[in-house]
Amino acid sequence: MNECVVEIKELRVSFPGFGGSVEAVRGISLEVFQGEIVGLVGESGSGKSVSALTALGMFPLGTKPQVSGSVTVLGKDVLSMSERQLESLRGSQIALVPQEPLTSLNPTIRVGRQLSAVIRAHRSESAQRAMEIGTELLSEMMIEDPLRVMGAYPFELSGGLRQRVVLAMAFACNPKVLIADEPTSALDVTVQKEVLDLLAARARASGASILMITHDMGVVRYICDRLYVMLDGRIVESGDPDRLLSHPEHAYTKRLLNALPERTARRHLLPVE
Amino acid sequence: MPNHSLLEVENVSVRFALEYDWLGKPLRFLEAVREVSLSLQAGDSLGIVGESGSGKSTLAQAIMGLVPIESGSIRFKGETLSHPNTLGSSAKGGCQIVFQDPQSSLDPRMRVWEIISEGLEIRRLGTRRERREKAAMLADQVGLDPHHIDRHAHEFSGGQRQRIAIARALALEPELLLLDEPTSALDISVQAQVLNLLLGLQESLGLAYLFISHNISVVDHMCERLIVMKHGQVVEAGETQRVLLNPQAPYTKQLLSSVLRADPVS
Amino acid sequence: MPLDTPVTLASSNVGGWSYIWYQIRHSPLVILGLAIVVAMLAIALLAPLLAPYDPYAVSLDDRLLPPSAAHWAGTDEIGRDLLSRIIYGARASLAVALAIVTIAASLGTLLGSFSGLAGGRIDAVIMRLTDTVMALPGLVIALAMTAALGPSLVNLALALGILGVPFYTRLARGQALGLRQMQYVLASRAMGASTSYVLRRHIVSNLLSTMVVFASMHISGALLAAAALSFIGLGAQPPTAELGALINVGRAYIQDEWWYSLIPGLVVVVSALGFNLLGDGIRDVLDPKSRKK
Repeated sequence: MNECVVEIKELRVSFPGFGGSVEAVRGISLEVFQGEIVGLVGESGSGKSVSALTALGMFPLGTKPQVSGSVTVLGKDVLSMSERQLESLRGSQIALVPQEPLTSLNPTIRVGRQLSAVIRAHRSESAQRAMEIGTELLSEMMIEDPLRVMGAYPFELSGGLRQRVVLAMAFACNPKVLIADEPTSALDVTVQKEVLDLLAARARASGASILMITHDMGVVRYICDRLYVMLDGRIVESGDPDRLLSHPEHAYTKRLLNALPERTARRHLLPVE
Repeated sequence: MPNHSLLEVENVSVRFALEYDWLGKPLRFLEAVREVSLSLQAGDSLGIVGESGSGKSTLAQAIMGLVPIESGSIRFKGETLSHPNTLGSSAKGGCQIVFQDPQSSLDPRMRVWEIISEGLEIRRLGTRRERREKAAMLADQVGLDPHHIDRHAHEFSGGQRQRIAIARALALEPELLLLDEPTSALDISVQAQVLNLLLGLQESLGLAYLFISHNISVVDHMCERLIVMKHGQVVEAGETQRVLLNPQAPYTKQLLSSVLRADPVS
Repeated sequence: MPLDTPVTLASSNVGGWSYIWYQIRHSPLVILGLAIVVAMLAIALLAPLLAPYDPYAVSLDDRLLPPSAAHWAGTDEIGRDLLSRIIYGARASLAVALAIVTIAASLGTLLGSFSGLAGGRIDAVIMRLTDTVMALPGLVIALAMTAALGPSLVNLALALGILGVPFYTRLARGQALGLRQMQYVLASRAMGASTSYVLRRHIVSNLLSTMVVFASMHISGALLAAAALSFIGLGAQPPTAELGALINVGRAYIQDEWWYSLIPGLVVVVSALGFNLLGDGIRDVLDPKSRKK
């Protein structure tokens, strides 16, 4: 097997706050190997986002959680790194694909300048060359008229186009690991499939790994090589998606799958506990 | 009693002003709904499937009289709706709407019983005490603990909030419920509970549903018939089974082929 | 997907008294502001009990005495006890400031929420009107208004109150524009609610916290503006004690009796500061999202 690019061991994250602290992640361990697309699935509040963002050394704004366990990304211990070391790691080796592209792009700056700024932050290129690279990146993201998109403001683009721009930014520095946080949840179904295809193809071509956070079993089955199911801050089940989705072992996974409307005859009550 | 459909929508168009001049006069328009027709019998369910920008939510708001229609007609139980809000303000046998977002659909400053009985308050029906009792009854009917009706909405989970919104819609004893993406913001297991509740209510109260969703599996589960909308127009209509197995419009085919199924069996 | 757990935890408790106390406890500046404001309010309310002398009792033998055990802040040019006059002056200044804020906030909130909810032409007309008023230099217009109406504390409060209306109108209108899109407003209208019902039940009640935050910030400004107009003689008329007027009279004796102006001046500054600090605290409690870490 390939080398392990993300290794999380016995991770615990708790947020101190009003009314006592909340333990969002309660001792999870997971691995992502090189070139692998791994799904981290759970419902809201399961701790999936916190777990994955910890791999980037990122936490929700303004919170100072207590963290224990270890997170190793590309052989480096993320939890002991300084903010500066984290920043250089994030841009070049590991990238984040957020859920809502409209809030992750600056609405007052044209796409081209934002994209070239990302490129120049990690490579020494001239401004003009960075714009060219950016345009190429956009056309690699299957954007038909990259020049128009480069000159546009984010709000002028459709949700699908914006998410492609965000993907281009994430891939700008050839990251080895991508953390994708519900990358297609805000998109329409027809666009979702295209964006997922793009994400997978690009990662496979460059040998990058993806840790994909999602609540959508359909997305997992479509794109992931392996998956972890999270419930209440713990991983309850993991394995091959096809096997896991057809023969779930844990009661929670079974319940989750049975609750999908397509599994029950029309207008019959869905099984809920 | 003549043989009217419960709801008949004929060639309805809706447009929105995109830009105004400095005195508030509209300059440019967006055609959100174009010449849409549909009909619904009492006790039936009709699904409306479409992606963002397809005009499906606008259509629902037009039926409720929340946005004015540009042309066409909407008839409810054979009566043409001329004034805005006439459909919702009829005290009995009218039509009510349940929205998608359980975060913004309940007023954060109101207690749950006030939210549920708001329609009664607006219609000035009953005393405060009677309204509170009715709210407790409705809460029980949608599976909420009637002892919790003095709480505020933010103390409830997404699924419970959606139950509150359904109870509010039921307070005026409507015959038709417009369900605008009622489960899209919910987790799968919670969605299943809300769908079950809706099926149960339909059976016990004989409600008709206009079920709007981008999720074909959900519409398939809930509705015998559906229409598919794109860019404000109906591109396909028919029996759910037929449309899913044998789609005619190219857009419906594209939509169906894009759906990612979790189920390896099917 | 945003991080659900911690966010829900915080928001599910917003509004409770224990949560408010939790917020306040963690900010010494807010506690300081709260202490100043409480002290000022106590002084204003209990002025007759706290003042050692009658603020209007003339004693020509004791003119312009320096601070002493008998007269903590000294006496004025006709022998009235300055501490008593400052205490009564603070009462008058505070009352005027509160009156200004009450007038501006109540009218502005109603006008703004109506404007935002109504939309279209009505909204455009109201907004152009507020633009016009806001384009005028406030203090100068207040000066003209009080001059026209006759200088008095009541007219001063009226003038500054009306000039404050457009700021609340704009703020309330912006909030109302957002609130009227809320699904609970749509649901209410779908049930046949009238505009006035929606305004009362949903709009005003939900923008109240924003308006309270703004009003709490406005009090210090109103206090300063009222003092400024009284300072130039357009507010309190002799013999009424008012902080701005006291500073103005003391100005004549600033060479030798510097405490005459300085003490009421400090009271103005400290109370303005107190209201500002408290305003910050109220904002953090009512609108935790706006706080930057």
